[in-house]
Amino acid sequence: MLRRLLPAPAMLASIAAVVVLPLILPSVAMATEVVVFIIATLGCNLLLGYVGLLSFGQAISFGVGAYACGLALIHLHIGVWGGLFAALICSIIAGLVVGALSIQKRGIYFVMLTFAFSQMFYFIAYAMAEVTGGDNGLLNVPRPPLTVFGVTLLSLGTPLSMYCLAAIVFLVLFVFLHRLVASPFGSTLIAIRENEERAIAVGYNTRIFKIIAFVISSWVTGMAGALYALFLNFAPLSNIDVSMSERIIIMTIVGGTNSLFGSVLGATFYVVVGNLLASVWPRWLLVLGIILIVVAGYLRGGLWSGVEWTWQRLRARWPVAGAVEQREDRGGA
Amino acid sequence: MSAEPRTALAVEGLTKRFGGFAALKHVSFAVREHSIHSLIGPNGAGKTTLFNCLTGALKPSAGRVVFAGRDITHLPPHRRARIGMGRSFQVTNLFQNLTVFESLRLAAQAQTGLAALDFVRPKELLRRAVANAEVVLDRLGLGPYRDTKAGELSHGRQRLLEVGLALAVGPSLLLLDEPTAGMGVEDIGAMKELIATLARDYTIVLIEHNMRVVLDISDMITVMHLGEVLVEGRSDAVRRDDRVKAAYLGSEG
Amino acid sequence: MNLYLIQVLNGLGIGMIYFLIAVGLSVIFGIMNFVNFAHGAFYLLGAYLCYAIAAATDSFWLALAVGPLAIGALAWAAETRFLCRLYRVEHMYQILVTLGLALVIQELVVLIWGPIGTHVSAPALFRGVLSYGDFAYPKYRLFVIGFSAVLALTLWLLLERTRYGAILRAGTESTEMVSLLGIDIFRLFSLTFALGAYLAGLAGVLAAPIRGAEPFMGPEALTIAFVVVVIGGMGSFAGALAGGLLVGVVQSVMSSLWSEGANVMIYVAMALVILLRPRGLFGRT
Repeated sequence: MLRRLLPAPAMLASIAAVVVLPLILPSVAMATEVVVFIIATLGCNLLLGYVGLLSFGQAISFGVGAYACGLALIHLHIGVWGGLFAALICSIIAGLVVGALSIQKRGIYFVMLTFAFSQMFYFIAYAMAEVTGGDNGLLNVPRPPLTVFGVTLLSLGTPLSMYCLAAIVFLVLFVFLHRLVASPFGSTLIAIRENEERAIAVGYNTRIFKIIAFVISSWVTGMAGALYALFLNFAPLSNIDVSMSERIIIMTIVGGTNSLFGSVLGATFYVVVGNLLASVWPRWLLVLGIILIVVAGYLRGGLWSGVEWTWQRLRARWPVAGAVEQREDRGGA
Repeated sequence: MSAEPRTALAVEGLTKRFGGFAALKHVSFAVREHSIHSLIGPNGAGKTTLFNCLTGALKPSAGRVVFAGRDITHLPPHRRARIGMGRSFQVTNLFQNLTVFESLRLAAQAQTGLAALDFVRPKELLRRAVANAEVVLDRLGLGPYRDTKAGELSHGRQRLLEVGLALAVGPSLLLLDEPTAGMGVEDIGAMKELIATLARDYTIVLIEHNMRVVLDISDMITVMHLGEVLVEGRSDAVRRDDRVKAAYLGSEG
Repeated sequence: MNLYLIQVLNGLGIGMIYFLIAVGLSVIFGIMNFVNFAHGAFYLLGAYLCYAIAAATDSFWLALAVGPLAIGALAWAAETRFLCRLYRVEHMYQILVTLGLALVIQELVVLIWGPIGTHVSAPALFRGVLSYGDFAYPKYRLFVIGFSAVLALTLWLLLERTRYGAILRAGTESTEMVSLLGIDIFRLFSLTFALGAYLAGLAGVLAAPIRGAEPFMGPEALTIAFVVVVIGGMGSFAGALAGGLLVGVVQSVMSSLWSEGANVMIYVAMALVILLRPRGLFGRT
């Protein structure tokens, strides 16, 4: 009975992570960057881990979200809610267009199609320099306080305040995605990943499901982009560069595509290790390269599978009666 | 028993050309409701092509497929399941990593229309799908394996699940593609029994290579050869037909 | 008019280089169904080995002869050591491991030669321009076109006239068939991977006197290679050639007309090809 009342382990872990991060990391700013990329990685994980679609379009949503939020704040003066809403609308539209077209093909063609779109958006953003700032990026994105009916909820002036905004958005999105993957819609996505042909044969219009998943993924990543623009007060061109897509994909796979919480692990790992190592040794990417090779070869479940393995070992050693069951939120029973 | 039995499925003048090659030439037959109608013929007869036209995997070059009075010739595959056509695959095509129960539940869920798009409630709360899956699980006798991953089942049970996925769709017509493929003798017997009992509630179109099964349980047999209907009739008639013998032996000689 | 001719010639030259990069990637994917994100790194190495060897021995020709071979050997080692375990695995892990390899190579290049690019001089034999009336064109670029054409012909002969080539062509249709015929499929894969890397390295060496050597040039080469492979058709030699030349010439001509549009157009073309004619110009269905 108690089991029903407690939120799932993944939820508890997310809340714990969000509380702990600013405390154990060298700066609150780094914690904010971590949370931003956790959100972006969640968006990628939905597509890759649950639908089985490898898309290079992450940068499109991330960049569009950042530009939309930034531009709305700079030109429309509509406050943080407005900026987030602009990012929502624009990333959903971008996701719909790119998704509806890309989903027409499968396998490597789908991957290459998203790659082509990613490059297209990059060069368009580069060319529209009057709007996006081109190579220089969108500068001076303001960060007004977060208010509701004139009451200031978060001043957003301090790093901690900005972190709180990111953390709240993360938790809301995590709850949303956590419920989604356990829902009928989520189970259908998993069915499509497992065997799309069979999913069609039993009656699912898999195209529609894939497009919707693509749009949701785009929206989530777009929110991350918006937060990033607020955080940096700046939306660089690199947000929409295909290397950003690669980065997010790496975080997703390294964290583990078997569970949503894997995204928390992957993004935290990449941002923290990257920042810490980079300050010590500028060639930290060499280490990352080796890590990628090792993960692809030997630890395909990513960091999450490492955590799972440790958890199973611990439970075998010290079984706790009535413990909250380890819930697999990926397929299966 | 009421009036004349109705036609569940009718194929009219179905033709399929691949470039210059005609895989199907004006194939026509009608399947009576609640009957077991088998399609047999030597390799290359066009059975698979015909089956693919019935399931929507292929579009015919000419002709019609009529299901329950409705022209479904150009209906996309996923819609066919929704209007009552369940199919199984010749080569086992399951959700390997999903459990037996979840596989059946998914098939049942597909029929719930917009409810399948629900992204908020836990999937277990979609009662209709869960209930239908339980019924099929029971009927197949796969209860003890409900939490086993499909990929871990024995071949015979996988073939059962194949049929189960077609059943879970809640169809009126079952299209079974070589359900006994690769099965051992005992399993074949069980499958034969299952199909025979299913005919009480469903209309069944069967492609089969196992002659004993076909001759034992079929109400009607359509024999195909080189893309055309060669002979159509009841088991004993077909068994004794010289043209059928020639077609089979001729293609092996 | 002269400007136009120059752009076309430039396009042919760069197009041949694109062909050399793309043909390896295309065949590797066609035969092994392996997505190789490290291919740009082989090109990068080619450019740097050209710089290093030419600087050390003052001989571009030595660099041309030895550099690509070294890269081929490196690729062979990488393939037989760990890449071969990933042929049956999902594409995402192939991308991950080759991205990792590309990163390692890139960072090693920076460690050895520094983060700033360098200029590489053309071989003495082909320095300067060839004049014809009032039209002048760099000799080296003409050499690149000519040499690459000979190379393309050699590759074509290899594919069409040798046993290895026949096996390779058969392999792009069905590796199962090839292995059933008793051919060691793993040796075939290793050789093919090494050959692809060799060609990419060769492209890097050839391109160095034109484009210089810069540590972050790998991703751009890889990206263009993807475009060429898609447009030309995966697994097709003729496709890589036609695609490479097409992309090279169009890019070159467009860059003087409308440079920003040129880049967008290339990717629009890539997307259109995938959507409307996925097999590209010469690929198989």
